[in-house]
Amino acid sequence: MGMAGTGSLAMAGVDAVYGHPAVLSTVEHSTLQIGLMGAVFDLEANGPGMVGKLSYDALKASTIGAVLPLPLKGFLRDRLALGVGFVTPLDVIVRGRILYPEAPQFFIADRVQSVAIHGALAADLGHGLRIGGGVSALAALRGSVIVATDASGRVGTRVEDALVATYAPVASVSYDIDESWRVGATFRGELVGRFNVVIEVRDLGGITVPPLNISGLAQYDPLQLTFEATRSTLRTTWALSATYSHWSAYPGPVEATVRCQDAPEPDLDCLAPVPQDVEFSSTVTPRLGGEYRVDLRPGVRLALRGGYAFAPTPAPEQTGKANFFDAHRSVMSIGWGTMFQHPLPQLSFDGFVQVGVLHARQHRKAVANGAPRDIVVQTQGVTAAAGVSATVTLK
Amino acid sequence: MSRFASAAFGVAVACATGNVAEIARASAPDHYAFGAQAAAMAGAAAARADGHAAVYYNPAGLAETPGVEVALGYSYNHVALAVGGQDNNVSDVSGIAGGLAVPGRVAGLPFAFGIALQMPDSALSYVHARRQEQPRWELYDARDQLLFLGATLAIKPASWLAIGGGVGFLSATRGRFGVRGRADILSPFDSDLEHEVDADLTAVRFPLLGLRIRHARWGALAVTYRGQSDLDLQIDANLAGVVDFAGIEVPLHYVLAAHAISAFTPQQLVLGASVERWRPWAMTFDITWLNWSAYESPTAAIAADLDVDVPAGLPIAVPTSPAPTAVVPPAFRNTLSFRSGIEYAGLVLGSKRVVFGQREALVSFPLRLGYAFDPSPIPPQRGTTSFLDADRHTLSGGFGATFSAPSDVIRGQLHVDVYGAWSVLPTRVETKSSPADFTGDYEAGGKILSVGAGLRLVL
Repeated sequence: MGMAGTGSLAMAGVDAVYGHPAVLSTVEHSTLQIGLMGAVFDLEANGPGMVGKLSYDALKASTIGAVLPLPLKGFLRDRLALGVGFVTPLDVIVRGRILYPEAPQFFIADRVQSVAIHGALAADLGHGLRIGGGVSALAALRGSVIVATDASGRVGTRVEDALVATYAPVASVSYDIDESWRVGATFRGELVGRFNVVIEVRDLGGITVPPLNISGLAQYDPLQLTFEATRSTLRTTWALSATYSHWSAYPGPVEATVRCQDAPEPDLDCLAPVPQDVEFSSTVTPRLGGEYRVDLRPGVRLALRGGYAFAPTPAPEQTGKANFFDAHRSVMSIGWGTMFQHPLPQLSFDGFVQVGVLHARQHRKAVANGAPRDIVVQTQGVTAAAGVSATVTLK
Repeated sequence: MSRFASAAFGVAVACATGNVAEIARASAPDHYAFGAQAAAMAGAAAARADGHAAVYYNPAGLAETPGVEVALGYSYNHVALAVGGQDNNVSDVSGIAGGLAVPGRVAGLPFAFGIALQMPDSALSYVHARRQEQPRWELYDARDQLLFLGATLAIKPASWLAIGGGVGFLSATRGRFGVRGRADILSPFDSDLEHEVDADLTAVRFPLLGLRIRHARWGALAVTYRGQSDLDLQIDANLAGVVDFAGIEVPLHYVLAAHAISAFTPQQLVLGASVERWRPWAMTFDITWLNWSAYESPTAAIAADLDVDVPAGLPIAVPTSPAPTAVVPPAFRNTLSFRSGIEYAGLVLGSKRVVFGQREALVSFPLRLGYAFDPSPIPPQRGTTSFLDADRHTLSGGFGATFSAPSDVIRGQLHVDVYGAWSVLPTRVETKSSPADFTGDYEAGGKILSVGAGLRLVL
């Protein structure tokens, strides 16, 4: 994180479980990392009918990750490695806020309130070529509320509610061009955390109530493809990456409450409203990061890190009833690491601070709350994140 | 009465008559053991488990893991529980289990970390709400449809002492939803309704602690503590809109607030012993104290209010708001469970070789048996509630094959284990104090068949 999301390709470690699983196979010893991180949001939407600053809970999360080279022998010696990583918000696994469309809401703030679970297996194929694959997991909710009358004429209900896992594949490849240059690519599939609770009402004296679908996408990570190139020397590492995010496939958070396809017979004249398409656009996010290392004394090394990323917004200008705000983001980060090596215990401590500036943006409303209006809403904001971690290497 | 108004009130009445938000209160390892090896010995493993299984049974055991372990297994539990001879359709429980254990040294001390996971096939957690008075298998129905995830560390400061600790994770739901808009009575699917959700899938952490004292010849003694966890479940619903009754608009507002303590898992203290004096025989014993008396009723405290402004002349009868639920304290009792197991590892095949500092045959075939007794924490059900339960006797058995340095690639060990277990809940008769009781007298009992297999690679 201290390099704005770059660097895991070059400095294979726990971060590579998510970033570039292929390079896990370069890890020589089992590694365990435990950390804490947090983020705060200062986001505002100003204009007629807007509330100014929007209240969002701060993110507080713990991180646990491990890389495990498999000590096989023979032709598989030093070839395979496993990696796992968890980022768990301290109080929630998944936050599912699917608000009415006109409620002012920032896209970025609730997306981070979700557990992230990653697992990967990596293989060194030789000649500098490595591959890795795994899954990312997210929790989703499905359930039903069935209301009916029993034999005695009393109204009763049955509620079922299940938390289920959804998965997305991850595939990665890296290639060492020479001792200093490495290139890699990582594919991540679409990961969807969907809430879907259906309220059905039956046998109420001939009364017909359509199924009420309390549903929507609480969390959504688009399909992504990341390319990265790194150059490492004894003292420095530089990394440049670009991530394509297929946001144009995002259907939006809200789903229809009443659905025509639930009708007992096909109803061509069904007028149940369908939520408007959010019309997101796919994006490409460039990132640049660097690290400088210096030996403070024998066995103690200090690393200083920095990075910048420009994250274009996938969200269009909000000209209609919806107030689903987002804006281009400039992300700047700095970080440090202290590595202790033999003869000291193999420990390292890392930290980072990251600031994201949402560029000011204007939304010219043609429609607000269902009535044509000609107003302008201005949005802007800052996000700040910080974290620390401790890593132990087992020999 | 308008159709939408009727529907909305239907939800309100049903909830307010005293539903129980019955979220799983413990994960499957509490009930059906964790891992094929321990399950074959009825879950008596506090003093013997190492590798990923130690994350659950005794985190200190991680420090006794001989090499890096990767494990994966599967279990299936067929649950046949009945009342009055009628099967209650309690869900079967199945899922994968696995984990990692990584030993090493830090600052010269043996150190290890491990992660263990048991994930049901059906869901990560499961809620099934019923009326308070409805009979239910409180300790079985939905109990095991819950993810178990644990992460622990261990150190071994002396050759005879290992200490471990970490956290386990559970998950459930809290939140609110709202529905608003215009409901069309004559054409329900033309209704212009929309909703919002503000719900969290919550994480609850509980401590896992363990200590193990080992004697080089006799075996080991162990203490394991697993902390209590519960979830403060809150659900709020808000339905606001108008009902279009053939051109006449009827405003409707319905508010529901439900609050329940659920997902209760009692704190547990396990004392374990492993007797390994007469190898290749090994015996294990666990006594587990479970603090069930701290159990809080899962019945939801619900406040509901329906406000319908009916114009004069419309033939709509608005029901009154339902009375709050009177929650009956469950008054569960603390219990002591007993588990024991025996293993014979004398069947071997092939030449000897050195693996993890021990001389091992190419293949060994361990045989295992176990017995467990779990008394019911549920007191006689003579009143409103009908929590079904009975003492449980479990007989288990299993066998395995351990391959030591079987190839040039694998110089460690490969364990393949299978097990089966048969649990009997003898019929328990409940006599209600009131002859007009909603449920009436009943007999409850049943059987559970468990099978599973596991694969562990230790390198």
